[in-house]
Amino acid sequence: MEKTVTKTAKTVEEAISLAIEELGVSEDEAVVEIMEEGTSGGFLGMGKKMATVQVTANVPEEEEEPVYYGDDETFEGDAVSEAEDEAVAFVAEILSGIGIHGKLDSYREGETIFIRVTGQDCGAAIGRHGETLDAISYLTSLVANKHSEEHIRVSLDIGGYKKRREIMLISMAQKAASRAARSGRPVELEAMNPSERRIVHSTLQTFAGVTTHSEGEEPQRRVVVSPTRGNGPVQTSASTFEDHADTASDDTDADILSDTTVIETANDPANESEE
Amino acid sequence: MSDLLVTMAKALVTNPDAVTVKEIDRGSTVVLELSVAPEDMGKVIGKGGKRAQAIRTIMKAKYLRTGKRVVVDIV
Repeated sequence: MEKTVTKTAKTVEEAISLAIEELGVSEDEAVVEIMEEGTSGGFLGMGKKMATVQVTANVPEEEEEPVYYGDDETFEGDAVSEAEDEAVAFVAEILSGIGIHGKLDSYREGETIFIRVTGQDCGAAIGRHGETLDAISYLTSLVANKHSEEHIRVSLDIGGYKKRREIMLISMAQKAASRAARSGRPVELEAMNPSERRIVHSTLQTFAGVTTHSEGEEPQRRVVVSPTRGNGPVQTSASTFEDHADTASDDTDADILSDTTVIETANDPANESEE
Repeated sequence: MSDLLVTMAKALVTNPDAVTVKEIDRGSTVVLELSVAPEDMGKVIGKGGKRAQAIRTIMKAKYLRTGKRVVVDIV
């Protein structure tokens, strides 16, 4: 297939090399036509002219067909790196293998490849608690890193599941943190996978008054949110205090009663202190 | 039905030509016997069977609609 590109650069040589690079051919395979000779110009580069060349070469037909999956949906080839291309192609193959129809977009930010799949009926590719999504995500990151020296992270979302889950996890983390800070007792969250735990940890990193750590073995590993002032032995005494709230409440009630001198509501403060 | 398994295995191994899958239909269960080059065994099994588990999870998703159970054996 014959292909022609036109390039403009400071010098003819530069323009040619840009053009053959784009065509992906060697210089002797290309026919170069110089449209405009560049001149460096006179005093201080004034009157400078850029060089323009037109390069024609026989380029091999694109070997890879655009990747289709599902029925007729295609996705844009905005992939910038080989790893991204491979990761995206792999996800597309898996989805079409499972029998999912949808659209696939990807972009790269630093060392992370983001792949988003949208479409109806993505349920099978998400699975219970996102376990199929996690499996696809895991294998895709292996494929992306197969030929890469630096570690590439893959962030895959299907049908917006990850996004919804992230919003939920953030709110869950904040609620647990408020509860831990208020009660002075550690709060244990449900079992989560590593990436979900990471969301919780990073959400609460800036949350005053609590620290987070994980406990247990995969897949039952879970985040524990602890109040900062209730750490270590202090934590035990704090919970001891709570445990003996019934016996301690006698004194507290007496104080409240004498302060407020509202005898009719004597039962209410007692209830409150127990909650 | 086993194309997807071949695709995944080939993507993980260093010797894709040695990847084969034998499909055995046992009525309500389909057994897929995956074999790879001996030096690639670790590439499809993974540490603690993590890769094998991910492969099985994805194959289960594929077979969900068929109503059949799928078993992936690495032989």
